[in-house]
Amino acid sequence: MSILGIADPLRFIFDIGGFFIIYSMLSISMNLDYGFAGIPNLGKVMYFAVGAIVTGSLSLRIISEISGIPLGDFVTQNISYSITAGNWLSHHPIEAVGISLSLIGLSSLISGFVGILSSLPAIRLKETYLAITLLVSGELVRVISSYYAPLVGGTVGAHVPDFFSWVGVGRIHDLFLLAYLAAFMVASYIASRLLVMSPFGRIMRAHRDNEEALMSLGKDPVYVRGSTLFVSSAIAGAAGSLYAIYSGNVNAGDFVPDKTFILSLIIVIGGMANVNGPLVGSLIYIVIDRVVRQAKFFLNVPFDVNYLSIGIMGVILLLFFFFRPKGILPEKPIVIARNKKLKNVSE
Amino acid sequence: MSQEHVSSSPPIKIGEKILLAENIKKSFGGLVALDGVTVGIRKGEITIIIGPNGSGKTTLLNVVSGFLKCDLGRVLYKGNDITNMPPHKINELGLVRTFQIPQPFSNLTVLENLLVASRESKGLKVLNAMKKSKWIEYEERDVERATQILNIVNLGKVADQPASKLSGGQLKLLEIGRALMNGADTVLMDEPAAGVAPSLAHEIFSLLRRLAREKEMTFLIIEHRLEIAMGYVDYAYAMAKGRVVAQGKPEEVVNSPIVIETYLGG
Repeated sequence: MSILGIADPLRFIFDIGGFFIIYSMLSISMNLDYGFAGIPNLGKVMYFAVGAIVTGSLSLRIISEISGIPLGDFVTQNISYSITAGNWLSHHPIEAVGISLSLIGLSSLISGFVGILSSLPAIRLKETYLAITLLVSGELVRVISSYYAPLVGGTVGAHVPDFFSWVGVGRIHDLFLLAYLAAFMVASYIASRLLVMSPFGRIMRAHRDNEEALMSLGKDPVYVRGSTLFVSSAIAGAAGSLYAIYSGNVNAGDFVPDKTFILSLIIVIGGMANVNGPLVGSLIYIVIDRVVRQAKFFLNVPFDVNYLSIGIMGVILLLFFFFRPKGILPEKPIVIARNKKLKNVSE
Repeated sequence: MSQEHVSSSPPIKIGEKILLAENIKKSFGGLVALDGVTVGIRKGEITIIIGPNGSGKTTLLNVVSGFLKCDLGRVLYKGNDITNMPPHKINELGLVRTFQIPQPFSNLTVLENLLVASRESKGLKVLNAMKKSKWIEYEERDVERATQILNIVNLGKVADQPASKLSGGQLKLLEIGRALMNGADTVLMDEPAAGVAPSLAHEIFSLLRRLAREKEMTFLIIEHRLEIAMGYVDYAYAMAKGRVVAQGKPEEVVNSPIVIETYLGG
């Protein structure tokens, strides 16, 4: 039983699951910025990169501190030490979970503050210029971390040890890892849902619709952008950290702007400013992408077959623009119950 | 020893000047839009600014409400110097404005448009927002107040429609509803009756009259439809080419030769 040369279908589904979780979190983040608050965040990949870089840079170093096993040179000893660290973690489950949780938390927090920082140019810049500034900032992070080796291994990358080596190997290990990732995705989804259904969420949408009117009513758009970017970037940073843990490797060169464009594509197809839109969009993209990657051994196309999934998504995007411009799940007006206690009303 | 409000001046009584714009100058490149305009607004009164198109009325309103920075002059509101302050800071002191071309939050419902205007809710802080228990009380109170205001401005029936579905006249009413919901005591209105049926325009002005009398609210209004507005206002300024050319009782201003000349002579 082998479809498209997939020897282990369950493993393939796990793989889709892992990427689906990470892309869902990133597109939830993108949707908060662009879909709800109207901030054209073309630097989204930067917060993802910051999360992954923090985790990639610190995981071996922290384990070295805690385990007492000396690390040596971070760049040259990286691969061998990640195996040593994995072995050590397999005997120390509490430390493994503790360290991974702290890394995810720290990555998320640092990324959140980078989000607040990047809202500062937005005080003076509007739409297009802000989008360009954010795009360039993302590239800046990628270029610097690619060439400054002590940070995250430079062009060689840095390894992240297997934090679930204590579970064992095989499917049970993969299932554990997937469940761990899924918990963060669910938390991000709930957080985004609570946020957009709140009075602050209303201000976010008002900011998107009409910034001048919002100012005239006493709301500070700088605060709206800063707070939105803090939350969305924290989610993207957590996704970056999870990606590092999931793939076991961080290579700064991976964080190219294409990722941001794919995320915008995902939310347009899924439905902008709809909390469930990012999940639907991510699922479609990840399934197409993973299947194409698998099918490439059987396809004979006159270009690099890895770009095929982007091509397919491009065609889907055009079809959506023509036939369903608001995406699969369009934004719905939020109807608030009146003359009743709101507590008794279901959303 | 820091104080929230720097102003130590006593509260302003009815009939005293609450808003004063002194010697305001504003140019756009070579075009002088405001050439030393001085305007004072008394608390509890409805003041109107008339003048032909291009006379600088909207520019003045934009400067006072913080949407444009003036080149020269100063604006005092309740004893505070608000010259060139950002609009949301000015609003915090109690001054709200409406727009000549309505500026709705198009994808929000009419009710939500009003709720955005509410100034006090713990749910506006991002860290509180995710805990419903922190803001639900404020929200319930706001929804109740918004519902009352929607009934006052005749938008009760369309409360759950997105603002993008409203007619031009309804959008005007929404602007007024938002200003009321904002809870400000001073309202600057840019042509509240433009594009509105005469009977509705009279309703709008009677409402403003009532709010001025009962709630001691202050209004500064730009309006072209003098035949409707004049019966409701206390004081009038006439502007032409970036200057105040006449001021005083409404009927005197409208009938003054210089005003008639600016309107007819262009």
